[in-house]
Amino acid sequence: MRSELCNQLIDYFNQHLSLEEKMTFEKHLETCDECQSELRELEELTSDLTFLVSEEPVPSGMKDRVLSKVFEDEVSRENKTEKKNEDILTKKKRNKWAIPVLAAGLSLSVIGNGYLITKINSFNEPSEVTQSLSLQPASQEFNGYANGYIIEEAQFSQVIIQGSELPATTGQEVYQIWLIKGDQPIPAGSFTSSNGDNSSIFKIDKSEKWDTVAITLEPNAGNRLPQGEIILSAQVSS
Amino acid sequence: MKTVADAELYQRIKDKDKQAMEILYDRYEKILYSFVYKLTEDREAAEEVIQEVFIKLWRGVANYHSDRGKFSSWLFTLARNQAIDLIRKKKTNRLVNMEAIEPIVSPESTADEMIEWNEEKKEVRKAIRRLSEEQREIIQFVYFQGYTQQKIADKYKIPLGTVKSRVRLALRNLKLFLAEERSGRVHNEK
Repeated sequence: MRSELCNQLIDYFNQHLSLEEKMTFEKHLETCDECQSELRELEELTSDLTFLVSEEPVPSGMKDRVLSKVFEDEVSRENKTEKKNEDILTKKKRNKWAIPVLAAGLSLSVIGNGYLITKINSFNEPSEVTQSLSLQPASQEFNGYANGYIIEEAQFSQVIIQGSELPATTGQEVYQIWLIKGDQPIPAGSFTSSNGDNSSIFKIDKSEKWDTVAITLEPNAGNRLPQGEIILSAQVSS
Repeated sequence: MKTVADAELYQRIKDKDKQAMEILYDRYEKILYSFVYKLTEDREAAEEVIQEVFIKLWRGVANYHSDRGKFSSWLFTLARNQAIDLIRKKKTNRLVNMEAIEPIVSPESTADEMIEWNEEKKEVRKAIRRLSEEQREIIQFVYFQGYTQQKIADKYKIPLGTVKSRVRLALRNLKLFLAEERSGRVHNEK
């Protein structure tokens, strides 16, 4: 369906849109046939230009480095999951520990949470985590996992959820975080697990009590109730 | 020796055929590296991009369907997106200015003869030369330099809203001229 957004196609193609703009545009793309076919045309027709490049000598040994990384990747991912499961079974819950260094992707989701940016980026005074969570896969085949950290402030709790090794979402899919009280899920933050966007930070009123935090894969952001199945979850102590 | 089509190699790769992966890698290594190097102007970054592209290919994270056009186009798009992604993320001195890259239609040199994709290069070059100067530049600014729409509008002093259609027109002309060049080649080979 045509809209003002159609004009963002070229900037989308060249990755000039902000994360929010990009997500909005991708959502638009799902329903706009014109944009879909124009994007396809843009990709197809410009790709011939690739042949104009002059040859640049390939660094020696690159093939071996690349292919061994490609093929090794499979094996090491399987091993990591096994080890992770072992760790969970033997690990005791620690009440307080300093926040570990979080990935660069975190910066994308802290926009608007200026207060927390200051706290986390200042390594001299690490915040104290009241509770840490380890979100576990609902099914054995699932390879990713997520960690959660809850920091209690005066009026509210800050919750950080960071996904790891989650397959990147496509189109307008997102990993949606839910806080569950009994059988009632409340949507919290979300992330896409692509381009380093693998975490979400949000604030919760301290008077709220919830017993589980879960992540589902939703077909789009903004769902009030989960459409997808729960892929990762952890219980929360009150 | 009969060569296996890209699309077939891709199917085999989806079935985790390592040999197919290696064949495909050999086929595209040089051009992908040269292309990504052109965009990033950094050898390590270019290698990092190549690695990511082939990892994605192997893991089946990115999906190709033959109704999405040529496999090579899809692969180039994947590599380009990965390169731009890295450029935006890294923002090191060397990588930040994609826009400073020289436009690409340089004079022919005898060194070209040695390039694997020399035939394709000659065809595209002939086709692109048939475009008007503005059209020739505009598509290169979009593809290699990653200009924003606004920057293109400013450069050519045209309304922002017309940029997209100008780009499209230039590309369609390129497609037409390229088809003519390619059919010329088929006739010569007969």
